[in-house]
Amino acid sequence: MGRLFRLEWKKLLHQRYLLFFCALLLAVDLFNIYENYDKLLRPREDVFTVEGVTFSVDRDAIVLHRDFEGPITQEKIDRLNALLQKAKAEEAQIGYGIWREGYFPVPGVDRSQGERLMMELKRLTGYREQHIQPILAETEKLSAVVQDGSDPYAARMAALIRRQYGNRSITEFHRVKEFEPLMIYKLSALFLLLLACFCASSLFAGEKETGMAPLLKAAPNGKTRLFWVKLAALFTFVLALGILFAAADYGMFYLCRRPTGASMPFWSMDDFADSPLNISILGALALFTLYRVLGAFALALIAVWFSSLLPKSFPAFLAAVLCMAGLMLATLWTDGFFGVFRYFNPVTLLISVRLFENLRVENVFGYPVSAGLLALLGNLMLAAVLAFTARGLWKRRA
Amino acid sequence: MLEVVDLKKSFGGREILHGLNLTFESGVYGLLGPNGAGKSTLMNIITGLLRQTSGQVLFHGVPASDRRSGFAAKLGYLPQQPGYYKNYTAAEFLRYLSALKGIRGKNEAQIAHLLEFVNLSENADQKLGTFSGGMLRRAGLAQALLGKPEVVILDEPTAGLDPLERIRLRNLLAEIAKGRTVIVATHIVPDVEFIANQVILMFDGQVRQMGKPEELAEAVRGQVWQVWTDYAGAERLSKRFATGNLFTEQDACVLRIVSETQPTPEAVPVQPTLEDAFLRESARR
Repeated sequence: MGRLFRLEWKKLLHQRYLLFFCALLLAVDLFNIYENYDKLLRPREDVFTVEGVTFSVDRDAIVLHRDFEGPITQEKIDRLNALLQKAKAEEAQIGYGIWREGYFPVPGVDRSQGERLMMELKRLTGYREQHIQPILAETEKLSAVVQDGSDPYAARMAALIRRQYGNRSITEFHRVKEFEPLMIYKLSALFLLLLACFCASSLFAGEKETGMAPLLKAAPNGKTRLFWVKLAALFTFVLALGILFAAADYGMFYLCRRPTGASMPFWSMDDFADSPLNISILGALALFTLYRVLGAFALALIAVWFSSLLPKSFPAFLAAVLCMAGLMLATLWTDGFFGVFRYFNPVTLLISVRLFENLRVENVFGYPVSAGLLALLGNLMLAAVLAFTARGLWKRRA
Repeated sequence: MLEVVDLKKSFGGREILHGLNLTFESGVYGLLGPNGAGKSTLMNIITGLLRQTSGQVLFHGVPASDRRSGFAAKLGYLPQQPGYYKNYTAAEFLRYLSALKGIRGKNEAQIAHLLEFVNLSENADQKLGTFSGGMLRRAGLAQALLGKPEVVILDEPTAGLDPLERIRLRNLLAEIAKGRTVIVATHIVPDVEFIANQVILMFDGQVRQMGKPEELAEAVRGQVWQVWTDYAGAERLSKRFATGNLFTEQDACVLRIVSETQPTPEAVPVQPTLEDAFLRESARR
């Protein structure tokens, strides 16, 4: 099996276009990170939107970030309060800075200015555990202030902050700035999905193109043994790509870091915000990479399915990508544009679908369940189910 | 011993194989028939790539499809259009198929021996994508011999090869037959004429004749004629009779005709060959 496994890896590495696409997508990914970081520091630039997250860049925001470094004082809390009041007054207007309305508002899913401030507060005060009590008190005040029709998420965010600071020390997530943008960055997740599907289709459907199918079928236990070896090679290859992208992204963020320490508003660590685990930043990064890899692997298994049914690798690749596009369109219908670009992950797409107003699958069980962990487990289960059904199909039809 | 018992195969209501009964023991069996005779269908059923409509394939008395027969592990197969991985070297390709066949441990010695046997040891580290057609066939033969199979099935092994490569491959086939059952399916008579112990003439999904090459040739003694005529006469005769060779000699056409009756008064009986037997069966369709 070891020999077969190494030789299957060699097949992947020798795919004519695979390494080229890997390099190309990695370059685009890194350039995009650099561009975003660079734009963050440019004053008065138009708001730059990528993957549904709005990066507001202007001088006021930078000043705000600078001013809130150091110990939290009552004066700073008062200033933040005043800014919040101002944001509330300017709610209906589209302006610059972090008070800007979400670019892609859809009914019921508007991101309010107040919510953004709340998230900034959460990010900044995460460094200062000794000031939790005053912050909690202030948060209560703020949530009372912003709780109205145009701030549907503010109360939830306030409750989140209380839960986080009150019960667990997951504040480590907030401590290191450069990991925040790393977690929210989604382009590499999309690329990983595409590459995983490409690998799967070339590894499985490619056997028909090489004319090796009769020999594989005639070998004793050839197809069964080969299926699992190919799957193992596919998974480890996708994992290697995931680690490569994560490491490259982290490296790029580290290179782009500026003395001002400016960073993006914190979003996607919400995925793990309700986690009962207490994990380090590196653990979070590893978990997040695994979460993406499993999602990509689950989609790649759909490509394996189609590889058994279709005669060539490209149609199988296309069919899997279209399935993913279908899932994304379904989420667009239910969860808006933000939902589509937020989750390049089959299971996360499913669990983030809105069933009813404010009721999501992830909350069905009635207790806080980390969307991220749910997606991780969900992807594992989905991958297992798909693997066994794909094996049966490959044995019969390929 | 490999047996085919009352084997039938139908595709879309059309019967391709009509109740074949064959027994294969040690030696080379040439399965000779024109395109569409059902040779590849028979080979695919024996190797398990196709399922028969009815009938059985038995290996030492046990159905070959049954795992207990161990047939798949004892089978070496070279398909009609063998595939390969162009980025693998010849040695890697054999290692891959060794692993696939469940041959345990590193069998580098066997791989080296097989590459030498098929005259590819100097090309062991060369990528298959750079191989000529003949070299690929020899690599295919080497993989068919991995694991020391008892039964080796070769489907049109010389198709597309130049005469030199065909002779080379034919000689290799003669060597591998020692202590094995080798079945060569082909429509090229010379491929099996000199190496096969038994020849099976197959037409339209049926076995017409089976026997040693010389016996099959002897069966058409007195039915093979050589005729000298002009071009017009050659054209007329070739339309009327089963014609083998036709060549010109000093402004005359010389035809080799297979016919139960003397085709012309000038026709001269000649020594029959296996090809003549093949022609006779072909004319009877």
